[in-house]
Amino acid sequence: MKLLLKSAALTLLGLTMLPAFAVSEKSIKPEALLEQVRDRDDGDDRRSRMILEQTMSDGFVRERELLMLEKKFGAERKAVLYFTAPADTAGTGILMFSYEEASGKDDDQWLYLPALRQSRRIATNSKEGPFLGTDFSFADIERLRVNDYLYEDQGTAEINGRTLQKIAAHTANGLENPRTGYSQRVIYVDAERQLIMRDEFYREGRHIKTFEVTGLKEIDGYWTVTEAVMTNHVEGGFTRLLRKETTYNVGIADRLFNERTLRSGIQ
Amino acid sequence: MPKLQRLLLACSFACSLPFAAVQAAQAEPAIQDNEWQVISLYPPHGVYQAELLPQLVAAVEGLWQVQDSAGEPLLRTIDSLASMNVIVAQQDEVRFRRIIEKGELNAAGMQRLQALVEEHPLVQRRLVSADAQATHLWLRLKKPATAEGLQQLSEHLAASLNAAGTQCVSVPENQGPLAGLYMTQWQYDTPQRADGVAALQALATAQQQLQNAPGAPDSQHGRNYSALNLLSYLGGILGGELLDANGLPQSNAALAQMYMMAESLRSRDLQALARPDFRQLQLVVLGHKAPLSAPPLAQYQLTHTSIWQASARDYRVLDCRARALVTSETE
Repeated sequence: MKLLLKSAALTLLGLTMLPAFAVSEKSIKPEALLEQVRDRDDGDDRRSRMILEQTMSDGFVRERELLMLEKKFGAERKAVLYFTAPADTAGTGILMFSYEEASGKDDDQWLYLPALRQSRRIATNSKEGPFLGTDFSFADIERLRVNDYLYEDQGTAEINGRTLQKIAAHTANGLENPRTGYSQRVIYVDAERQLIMRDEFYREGRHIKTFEVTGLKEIDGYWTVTEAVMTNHVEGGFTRLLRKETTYNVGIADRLFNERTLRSGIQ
Repeated sequence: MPKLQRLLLACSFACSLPFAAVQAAQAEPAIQDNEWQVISLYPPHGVYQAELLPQLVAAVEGLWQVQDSAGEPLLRTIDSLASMNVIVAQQDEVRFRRIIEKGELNAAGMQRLQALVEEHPLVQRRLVSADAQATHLWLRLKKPATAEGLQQLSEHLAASLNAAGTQCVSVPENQGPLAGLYMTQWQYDTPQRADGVAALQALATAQQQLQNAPGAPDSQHGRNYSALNLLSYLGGILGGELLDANGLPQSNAALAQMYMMAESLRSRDLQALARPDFRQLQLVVLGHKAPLSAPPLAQYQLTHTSIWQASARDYRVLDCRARALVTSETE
């Protein structure tokens, strides 16, 4: 697996980059449009505060706050997350390295638990599972993989005053993709901003989750998703992801992306 | 003796409420059902055979292709040796990995596999018999369980294994390793967010009462387990520092960080046994020979009971040992 929260930030979570140029949505095939979404410029680094607000089916709400730093290192991407609230998880940190897809190298991740006062390398072969226990899966937040599906242009749709390109996606064999757990998607792309604004996920013909961008803002010249919601139609809950105090290209030091810093935390 | 067992033993004095009183203390829940079905499989030469396991993984994977008459997949979930992921510690890292990994199909790997089966609270007798001669697949269907659906899955599994060179035959369920045994799963809820460590202490008390109940499983056939056992396991593989002398998480902060570890690995097991807010808990008993009543949990209400027992509807046995084939042919 080759994604990182970094990639995530730059796709669904981060959700945004400034398009190098406006795209004529009518002239572009779905694959090419999604490649532009995948490859859009996302700056050299980004610092932001994230809030993960998970509402369970019975109405119980769990909220976690994180400081998130992301940076490109050539073809690699690195991210570090520090939990700042609630108190019982404050100080916990996750460091993630994501490698170029062509390298075939799996992501590396480390977790620092303050109660243990040590970091442990963690590895998983499950992307389908929940991301930090939320309604997002790790596959949902990874960098888009265009080759996972076959696509069909379904014209345009108006959502919140924007004309979006509607694209139907399905796996080649019609079965669920073993990596993502989805067999079909219906994707709504803002071609001008090169952003996925809505994504409906299906498994075996059943609509299981819906992703929606509910807040968008241009920050430092980059279109940034400031709020997104993943609704879980199977379990009945939803997770709201808020990005605040975002700054781009601030020259985040390389040394912040290593295990030693993970243990000592950001001062 | 593992710390958690010491805790449960110590609890046997403090928690000596007669079981009859326990039974009387809590009314039976309104909701009672069972959605589990089981296939027990006797491989040709026992479970820990490196040449068998890839066949088993492929055959179990193939069960997802089985469809009903309407063309819909039958299965919703499979818990089995060939399909489950578990959290393990390997060298200096913690992994969420398949129980059976292709890179470990050698003698040393078989020893590690056996150790993992015996150590992990969600595996043990639930998936492998005490003599290591049989393995169990716990299935849940998308639609209500039927004998026909289970039969279809059992036949598909046998056909897949036979196509790979094994010779499996179906034998009556009363000859299976789980014949005469029950699995009971209780769900408890509380309306308010609960204190995690206190909830785990209540579980320890309930589990000790269950252990002492008439008809409780012996170590050959099963045990009871809850999030407490999984947390004790996780704390152990992380070096034990997060646990107190009794094997309980030493604080709610330690508990939250153990959840963080499980969630960062994208495991759902811990959340399934105890929601992170501890408003909902599961308690499971496997391998008992008579129905058991739910023990009370302080501050919690029993809201759901699921009871599986080996029956014509919910249990199938496949025997792939050579002597089974001889017996079948002789008959």
